[in-house]
Amino acid sequence: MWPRAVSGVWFASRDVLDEIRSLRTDLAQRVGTTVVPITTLAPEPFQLLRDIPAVVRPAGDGFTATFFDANVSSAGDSEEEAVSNLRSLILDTFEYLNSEPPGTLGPEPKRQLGVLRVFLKPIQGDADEDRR
Amino acid sequence: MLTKTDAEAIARKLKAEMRQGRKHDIAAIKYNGQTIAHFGIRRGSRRDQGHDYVSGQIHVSPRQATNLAQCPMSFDQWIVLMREKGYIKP
Repeated sequence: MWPRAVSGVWFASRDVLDEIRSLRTDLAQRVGTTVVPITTLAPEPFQLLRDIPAVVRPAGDGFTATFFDANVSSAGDSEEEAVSNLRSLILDTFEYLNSEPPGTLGPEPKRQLGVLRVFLKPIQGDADEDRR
Repeated sequence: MLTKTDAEAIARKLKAEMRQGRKHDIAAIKYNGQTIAHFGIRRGSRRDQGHDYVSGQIHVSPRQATNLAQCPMSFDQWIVLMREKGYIKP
């Protein structure tokens, strides 16, 4: 388990090496974490009531972007793609939850919809204009 | 790492209803007529697209999500877990 010295040279067991690898991955994720505010939903017909904080973290070969308050996450090959995918998924999630009949949302989706309504709302006029 | 293939396997395992979004297909998991969780599956042909975020969306650890995708955890076991965590009303 513990590193041992033989003739002044340190040897580490497999467990120690695995632990070091795990810590390096964790550290890389922490160092690589950034918060990107989503400031607009244009050209979609939605008004942003306040900026949405997207937490972007390295994950494997790409990145994940998460809106933690609403527990909505997506991913992408680059940071930009991850945030763009998150923006689009936030709208999909809002439309989906908003379209469900009252009483059919469990505790967590109901909470998510409540959070999303604090951050965005549909622009009815523009949506009608788009349909025309 | 959870891939798109894993995310699709989880959606099947949890009997998710699928609907199309802008860039994602939304997998909505229902139980007793209520939506209890949902997650997005990215579109695109690459099967190795990262979907690590799915575990958080269905309220399980990365290892449990892998177990769902690769069989050891069943739908019923996941329902028990969701009840314990309060995501399903008693």
